[in-house]
Amino acid sequence: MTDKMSIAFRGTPAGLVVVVDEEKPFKTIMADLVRKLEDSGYFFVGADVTLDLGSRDLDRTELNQVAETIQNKHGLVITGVKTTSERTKSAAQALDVNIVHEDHPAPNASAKTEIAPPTHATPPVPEYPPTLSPIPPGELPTEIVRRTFRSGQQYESAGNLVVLGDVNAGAELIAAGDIIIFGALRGMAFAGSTGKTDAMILALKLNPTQLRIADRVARSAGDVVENNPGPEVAFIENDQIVIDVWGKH
Amino acid sequence: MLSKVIVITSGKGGVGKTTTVAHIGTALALMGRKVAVVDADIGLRNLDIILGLENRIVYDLVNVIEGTCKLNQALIRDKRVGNLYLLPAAQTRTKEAVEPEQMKALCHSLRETFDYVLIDSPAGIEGGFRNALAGADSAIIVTTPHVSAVRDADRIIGLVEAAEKGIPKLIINRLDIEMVKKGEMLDQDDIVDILSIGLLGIIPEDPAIVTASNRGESVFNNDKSKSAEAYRRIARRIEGEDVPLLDLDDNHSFLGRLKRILTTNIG
Repeated sequence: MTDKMSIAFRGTPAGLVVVVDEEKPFKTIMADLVRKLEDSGYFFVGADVTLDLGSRDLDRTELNQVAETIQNKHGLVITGVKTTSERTKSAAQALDVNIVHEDHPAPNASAKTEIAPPTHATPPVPEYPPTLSPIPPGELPTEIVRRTFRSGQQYESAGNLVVLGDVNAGAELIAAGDIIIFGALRGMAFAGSTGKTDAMILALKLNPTQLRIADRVARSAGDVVENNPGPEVAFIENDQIVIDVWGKH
Repeated sequence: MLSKVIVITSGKGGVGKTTTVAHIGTALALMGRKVAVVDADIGLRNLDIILGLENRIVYDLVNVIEGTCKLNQALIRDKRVGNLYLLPAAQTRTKEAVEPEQMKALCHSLRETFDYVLIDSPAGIEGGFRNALAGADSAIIVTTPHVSAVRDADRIIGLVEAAEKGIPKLIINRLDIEMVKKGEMLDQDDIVDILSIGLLGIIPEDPAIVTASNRGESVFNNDKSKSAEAYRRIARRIEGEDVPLLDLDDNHSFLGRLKRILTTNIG
C-alpha cells in the first residue's frame, strides 16, 4: 500500500478522466482498476469517462480488457481514449474507440462511441439505475438522517445534511454544506460551518431559535409566528442572513 | 399478568411528578391492581407526604438496598387503599447512596409481588434520574403547559429513548382551560406537536388537588372532581383500555355542542 495507485480518477472541466500510469505492469493496473471501482461502489455508475493512457503501449486485447472492466462490470461509459502511443492508437481504432486529442475535448454524451463489444450474446444489465450521476467535483456529499432531534442533542455533518424529522428547541445541527429539514426547525442550525457562504438552511417550518451560515449569526425575532407560510429558506444576501419563502424563485 | 415498572419523570421540578405518581397509583389500586409506588427522590422525599404516610416511615429505600431491612419491612400499606404500597426514599441520605444496578435489582424483586411499580423520579438529568430510570420498562413524562417545562420534557424524552426504554407517553398537568381559551397558555395540540409522543392524559388545573396533597388526602372521594376522573382515565389507558380524553371545557354553548357533534360525525 506504500506504492501510489496506478489508476487515478480525476474530475476535470471536460468530465471524469481515468489516468493510467505509464510505467507500472499491466497486471497491477488491472488490479488497481478493479479495486478502485469496487471501493467506490455505485459512486461512478453512469459517469462518462475519458481514458488517459499517456505514452503507454496497449494492444487490442489489453485495451479491450480495460474497457470491459470499466463499462460492462461497473457501469461507466468510456467516451474516448487519450494516448500518445501509436500502438495504443491503432488498438483503439481497431476497437472503434474515439481518440481524444489535447486540443479537442471529449465529445459529449450524444456522440458516445461503442467500444469493447461484450463477449456474451447479451450485455450484462447493471444492478443499479445507470442514470445515477457522480457527485460533480467540488460538491459535498449529502447525508440523510431520519430522526427527531430533541433538546440537548447535537448532530454534525461534513457535507450537506437532510433531516427527516423535527429539530426541537435546544437541539443543534451543524453541517459544512446545506441543511434541509423535512419537518420543523425550532432549534439551532449552522450551515456552511467551514466557511461556505452560499450554504442555505431550508425547513418545512422554519422557526429557529438561531441560524448560523458561515460566519453570520441570526436570531429569531422572538415573536411567535402564527401563520407559518410553509417551507422557507435562509441564506446570506448582502452579508446578512435573510429568510424567504421557498420556491419563490 | 406481567408486572410493569414505569418511571414517572419530567426533567423540570415542580410540574407534579409526585402528585401524578400518587394519584395514578391510587387509581390503579382502586381498580384492583396491586401497586407499589417508589420514591426515588432520595434526600428530598415527598411522596409520603402526599399519600399522608409520613409518620409511618421506619425503613426506607436505602435501608433495603444496603440490607439493613427486608423489602417488605420498608413497604408501607396505604391507609385508604389496601392494594397500594409505598417504598419511601431516605431523607438523610443523598442520590449517591444508590447505584443504577441496585435500583434494577430492587425493581426486579418488587415485580414478584406487584402488578405495577411506579417510580417517582427526581427532577434533573443526573444520577438521581438515571437511578430512577434504570429499573423501569417504560416511562411517563409529566409536563405543564409552560415553555420551560416542555423544553425540559423534550430533553428527557431524548434521554429515555437513548436509554432504550421505548417511546415514553405524555401527561399534561395543570392545564388551565380558561387561559388556553384566551390564548395565554400553550394548548395540548401545541405541546403534542412539539414533543411528538403519544398523549396519555390531561389533568386540569384543580385547586382541590393542592388542598388534598397538602393534607395527604385523596381526591377520589369526590365523584365530581374532574382531575380525579382524568387520573382514572389515565389508569385505564395504562391498563390498555381505549378511553377518550376527558372534555375539560364544561361551558359549552348549544352551538358549540352542535359543532362538536358535527365534527365528530365528519371527522
